Amino acid sequence: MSAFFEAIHTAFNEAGIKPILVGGWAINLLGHARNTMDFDLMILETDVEKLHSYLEKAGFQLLFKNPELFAKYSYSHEKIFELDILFTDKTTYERLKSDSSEIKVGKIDCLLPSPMSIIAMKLHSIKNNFENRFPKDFPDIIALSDIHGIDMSSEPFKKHCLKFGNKKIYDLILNTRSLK
Amino acid sequence: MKHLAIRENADYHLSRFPKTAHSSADYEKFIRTCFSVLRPPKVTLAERLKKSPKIRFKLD
Repeated sequence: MSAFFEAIHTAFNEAGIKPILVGGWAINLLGHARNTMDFDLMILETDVEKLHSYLEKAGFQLLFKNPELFAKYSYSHEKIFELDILFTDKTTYERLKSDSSEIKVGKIDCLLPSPMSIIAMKLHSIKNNFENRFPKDFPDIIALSDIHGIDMSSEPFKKHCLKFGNKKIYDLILNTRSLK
Repeated sequence: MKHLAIRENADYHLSRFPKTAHSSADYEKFIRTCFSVLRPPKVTLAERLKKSPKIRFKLD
């Protein structure tokens, strides 16, 4: 596993790109222990081609690419983990960056978004792929809200849910809270 | 690759533990059977992609 992270560090360092950490690793670093086999990083869409050449040089192989959304890589020496690179626009990148904190995963310099930003991503995932994302993302939302003291019955949280998710997800959150 | 990791664990186990209780062949067969049932189900790329993003996340 250390070679996998070392290779990611090499590629990003040589490309001069600072990624935003998302997915399961971000959840873990925000305090909720959660199993994951992917390492998910978000970068500017304008950096995708540049990063690809550095990842290949560092030993990564492209498994799949959706030009609009993401690319999935495996590492030639440790294929247990996969690297997912999500693409984003400049506005989203800058807004996520503005409430992120700087962290290191191994030697990799990353930006760790705020809990509310990660919850926004989770709501978005569930809204657009309910069947496949709900089992993983819904418990993450509940756990992050608990850990970070987010009042899920508050009006700002409701607005957040309706903006990035939908009423169905918000109602499920409220129902889950009422079980407590 | 997960399969390879499990095989490597069986090899590691066989290289470290004494073989006094069984004949060498029986012992190896037993250990490899134990590790083989621990193999995780193979998940295809298509299955893994089901959980991938469908619409780009935006903050605006």
